[in-house]
Amino acid sequence: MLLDILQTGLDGVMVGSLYAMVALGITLVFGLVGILNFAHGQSVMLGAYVCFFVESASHSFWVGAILATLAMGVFGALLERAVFRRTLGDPFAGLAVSLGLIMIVENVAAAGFTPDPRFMDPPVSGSFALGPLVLSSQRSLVLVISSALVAGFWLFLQRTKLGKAIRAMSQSRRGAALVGVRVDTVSRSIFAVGGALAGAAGALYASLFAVTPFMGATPLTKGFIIAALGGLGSVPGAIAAGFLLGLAESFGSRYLSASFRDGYGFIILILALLFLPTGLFGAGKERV
Amino acid sequence: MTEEVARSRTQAAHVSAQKLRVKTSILPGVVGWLLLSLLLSVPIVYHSRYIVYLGTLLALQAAVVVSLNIVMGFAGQFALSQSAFFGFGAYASALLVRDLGLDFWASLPLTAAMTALLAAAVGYPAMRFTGGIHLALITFAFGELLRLLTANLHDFTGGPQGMQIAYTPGIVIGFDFGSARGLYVLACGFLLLCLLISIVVRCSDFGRALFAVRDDETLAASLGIDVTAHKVAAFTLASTLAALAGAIYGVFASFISPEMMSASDSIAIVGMLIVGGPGTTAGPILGTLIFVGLPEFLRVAKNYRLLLLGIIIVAMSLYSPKGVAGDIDRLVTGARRRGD
Amino acid sequence: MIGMRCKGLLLGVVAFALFGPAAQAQTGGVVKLGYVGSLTGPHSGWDLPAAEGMQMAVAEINGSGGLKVGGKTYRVEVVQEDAQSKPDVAATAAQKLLSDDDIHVVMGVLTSVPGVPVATQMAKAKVMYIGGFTALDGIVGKPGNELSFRALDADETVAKGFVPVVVRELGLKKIGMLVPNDDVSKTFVKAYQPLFDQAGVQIPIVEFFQPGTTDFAPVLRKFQGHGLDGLFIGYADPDAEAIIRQGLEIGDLPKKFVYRGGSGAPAVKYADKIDGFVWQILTRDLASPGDEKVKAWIDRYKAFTKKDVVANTYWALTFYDSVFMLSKAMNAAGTTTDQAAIAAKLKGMVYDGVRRMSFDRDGHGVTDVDIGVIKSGKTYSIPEKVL
Repeated sequence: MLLDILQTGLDGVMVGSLYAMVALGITLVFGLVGILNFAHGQSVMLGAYVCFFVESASHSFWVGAILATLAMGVFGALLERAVFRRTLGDPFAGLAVSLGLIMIVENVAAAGFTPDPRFMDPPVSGSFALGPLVLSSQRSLVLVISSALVAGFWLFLQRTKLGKAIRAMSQSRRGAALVGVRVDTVSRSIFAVGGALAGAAGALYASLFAVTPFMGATPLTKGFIIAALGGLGSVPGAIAAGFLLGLAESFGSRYLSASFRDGYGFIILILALLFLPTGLFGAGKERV
Repeated sequence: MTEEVARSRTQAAHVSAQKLRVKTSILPGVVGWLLLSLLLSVPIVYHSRYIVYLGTLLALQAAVVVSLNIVMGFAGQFALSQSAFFGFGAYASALLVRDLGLDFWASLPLTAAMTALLAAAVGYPAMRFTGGIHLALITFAFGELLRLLTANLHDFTGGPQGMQIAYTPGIVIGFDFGSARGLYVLACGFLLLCLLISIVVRCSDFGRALFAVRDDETLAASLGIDVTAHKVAAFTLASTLAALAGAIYGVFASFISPEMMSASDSIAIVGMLIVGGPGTTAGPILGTLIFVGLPEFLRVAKNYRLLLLGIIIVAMSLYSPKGVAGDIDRLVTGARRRGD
Repeated sequence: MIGMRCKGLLLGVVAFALFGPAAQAQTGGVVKLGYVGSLTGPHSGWDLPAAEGMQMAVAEINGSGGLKVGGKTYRVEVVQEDAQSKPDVAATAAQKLLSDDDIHVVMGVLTSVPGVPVATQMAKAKVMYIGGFTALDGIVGKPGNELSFRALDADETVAKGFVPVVVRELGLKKIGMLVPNDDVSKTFVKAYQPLFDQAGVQIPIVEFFQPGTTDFAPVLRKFQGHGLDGLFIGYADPDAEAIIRQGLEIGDLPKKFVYRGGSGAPAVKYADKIDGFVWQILTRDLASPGDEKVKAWIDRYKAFTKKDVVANTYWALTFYDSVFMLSKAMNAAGTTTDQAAIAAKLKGMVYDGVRRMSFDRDGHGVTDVDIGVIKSGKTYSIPEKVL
């Protein structure tokens, strides 16, 4: 029984860290430029496909994952430059644009890649024993990688110049500009970093689950839930909320109904938005 | 004395000028409405079953977009739950007929009441506590939750496979509303009703308050407008109309499923409104026509229909945020101003 | 040279003038068949091959002189509409076909969600409809649906022979069922439980997962610790493959699988890691073809579509034989337009085509099927005689 709880907990943490990676991109972009990028899920999907195709050609998951991350980083920067730059003053338009982008990317992908699900060969397979626990090798690997990436990102925000600039901008855009932060460059970096994280998440998803052109919808939804739960704009909030949601889903599916899996997240989201608009930890932005 | 007379005269002039303004602002709406009614009656004369079918579908779709316009175009609230309420109305009506033995027409007011309650219950906390972006998220989550619930409550709703609708609206005043033509008339009648409501709201004090809320909530509050009440009212009205459209869709398609409530449909409806022109009267109609009609017109393969629409949405949002109707409006006002 | 061509032309004109009108009098024109299916979207894996099979049969009929009914010869044409895997689009596509008054028979749709609205529309418009989806079994034979047929076996029909074979091949004593939460699954779970019971197999756990699940770990853990030796895993290939793979990853789960639908594809990659995989091939097995008819059909398929045979191709046989059965029925009834007469001839007809097929009094399909097995590194199939 205890073992079971532990296993379920580990599953939840792993899934949660993947969700957190996606949520980070969303919450950052929102916090800084006030845009809710609905098309963020597509970066996850494209990252998954890049990884899949590269892995099929080169038989190396690592090459695929790195390329996916880089490609999606570039993609994010491109989107910012070409599209979102123009909607800075108008969140309505930004939202609408991202909705349109979803339709474009999803349908180009469906036409180009065909809707058949693809299964990628993971770098490791099977399971191993850790004391009395039997753990899946690939899932453990994903957990390690995603935690490392999230931790790395946190450090990046705290220690590097760019990270500090980002944090300055999230507090006050104008203030940041006044102290000499290059607002445009930093904005573009936000999109790029967010995109890169999404791409990495996509590669990790591909190593565990099926890759389809429509797979971006789930990470997107979960990402929103987490970003809102943690407080829109708050990085630590998103990380904590990510793990929370992962655990809630895992335990809910295991001990309650498995056919209602996504429902738990939505209920939590609605309750959180209604009664804790600045997020669980009060770290987000008020009255957005 | 003279001062009073002068004052009252200016007041009278003021009032009549306002009345005139109201009349002129309502006139294009009414004329457009009459023209539309004329256009809509054309397919009844045509004998093509397919055109009538397509027309019914278009009319219902346009009605939903018109309803969204009330909350999103007029009040500026980003509601992503239209298709959820559309589905809710379909299921509510169907279940009322099946389990309580009512007939179609009797189920409509009850469906409207239930939807209004639900919308108010969801809308009030959502709009009182939070602002635009949060509302988008809440309505999105609510819609998905409703869909999941409907799909999971098998014994009640028939589950993810949906429910067959075996009844029809039947014969009323000698006219069979269950026939293909009858359903078309019903759908178009409902669309015209929604448009009428939209025009009346637009030209009323309520509508003006909504516009004020859309433009600047703080300012509106300082003018004495109860912002939350107005937002909730708009949301409730919009959701109720969408639900009634759903009830009609149920008897039209003879089949309803939780897929009707999908988030991507809600997004498409938002897209139609944006393309057509949020806040205008003709916008929703134009948007629906473009969304559904353009791909057929261009003979583009069905795969690329959504792609095309996505491109249109992006282009419109970036370069033409007032939508097609807004652009036409701008051209017309520009022409009038130039004295053409 | 020019002289020769002119002479040839003259000869041709004369020949046409002499024989043309007479020949024209013999041709009855064109018989249009409708096809509605998901040519795009997630369900296209089933419906696209089915469309190909129908087109192939029609091409063969035309190629061998056309459809001969009542002394006249007709050319057969197929009018296709795309359902896009969505129920509302399927309904509109059906309407489009129905607006063409020359179409008296429609075939298509192998998945239930888009299929039900199509069948409803067809029945309302009194047009003959031959479909493939599971929920159709609950529709054919009911009042108002006398012109509806299903070209594939019902679950009850197949299960009777399927279960004993499965139990024998895999040596099962205790299994768990993990299927999607929808009506199709609920129906066949009800059909299979008593049959496994009769075969002496216990089913201590049945779980319904949310359709669209990608992460099966939490729900798979529910199956640990019951001492199961087998898993019954639903009917959709992507789900099945995910379950097998994740089951192997998590460990402590049975390695024998019973699969009710789709193809053998989910297990191929893991063939050496699992202890057995048995699935239903509702038409014929094309991967290890046993008889000559199937082999010949495969060659014709490759020539017609210029494509190779893949895991999904066996769905092309869904409507293939039905087209020939239809032409026989039209012949017997002496009409290409009177649906009631044609339907009457179709019901009860037994046809020995690539599949051995028949339709019963209500319109249910009763056909022989094959059972696919992947075990000990070998892939083979066992025919199941139903008819």
